[in-house]
Amino acid sequence: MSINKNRRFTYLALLSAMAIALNLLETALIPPIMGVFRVGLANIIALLALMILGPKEMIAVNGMRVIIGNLISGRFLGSTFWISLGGVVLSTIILLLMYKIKSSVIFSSVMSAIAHSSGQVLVVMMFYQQPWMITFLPYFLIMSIPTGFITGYLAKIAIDRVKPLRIDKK
Amino acid sequence: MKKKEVLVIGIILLVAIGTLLFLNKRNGLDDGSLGEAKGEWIGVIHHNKVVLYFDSGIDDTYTVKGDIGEMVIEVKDQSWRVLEVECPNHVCEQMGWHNTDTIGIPITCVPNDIVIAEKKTIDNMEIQP
Repeated sequence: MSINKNRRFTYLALLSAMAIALNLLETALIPPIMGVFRVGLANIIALLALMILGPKEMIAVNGMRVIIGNLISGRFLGSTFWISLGGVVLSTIILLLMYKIKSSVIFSSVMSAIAHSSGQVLVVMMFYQQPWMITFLPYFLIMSIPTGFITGYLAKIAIDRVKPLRIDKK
Repeated sequence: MKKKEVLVIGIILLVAIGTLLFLNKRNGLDDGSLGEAKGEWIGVIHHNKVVLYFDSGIDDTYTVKGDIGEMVIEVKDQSWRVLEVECPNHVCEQMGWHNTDTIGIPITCVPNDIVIAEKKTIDNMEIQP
């Protein structure tokens, strides 16, 4: 394993740990808006992973965030796990798309937040057979825009500070 | 952010607000088939079917059975909340008190497949009475 590979692996482990910790802390400390809606602070780390490491690493960070985060909180394979997985899968796809078309960090974050909540609604609609959940979507869309801005802005600050440590992709 | 990006966000916001306004307008079409309530008629939906209607103007507690276990609903001072529920998540308990002025999502328990919503909202959902 080259030094660069070691550094990348260390970064990946650190970012994954941060994403899981932020996810758990947010669940434990910040009450959800309207009882169900969260800011999604772990999305900051997903954006950071995408910008400093790359798409594959961002997928790994998001995957570990959902699987390990839910294992730690004792919700693995429960209803919240599948709902959260649906959100993360769709937001990851949108983040990859935004990365490909070279969108700004804040716009990527807003679109990812929108995709995250839409993914969660889709899972409840399809797998829990509650099609009327679509009526919640406008609320989620409206809430996703400011939360996406917040996480995008924080991610931008973090990316600027981590840039000097950026690893060259080889 | 680029101009195009701001435009896309603006369009999404407009579509969401427009849909909300449209849904609220449809919510106003109440047929009043349950008669006059002291407060508002609130329905409890289980498996896409309304299993209970209660009057938010009458203080009381109601128990309904979900997929996992029982849910106790408390009604007090024109507001309602889930007092206790048998389910692994307890998200519906955390949703707190709801009343007719509460903006947003009806109280929902996904594991028990139960939703508590105003009759106006239920009429809009096209749920079986």
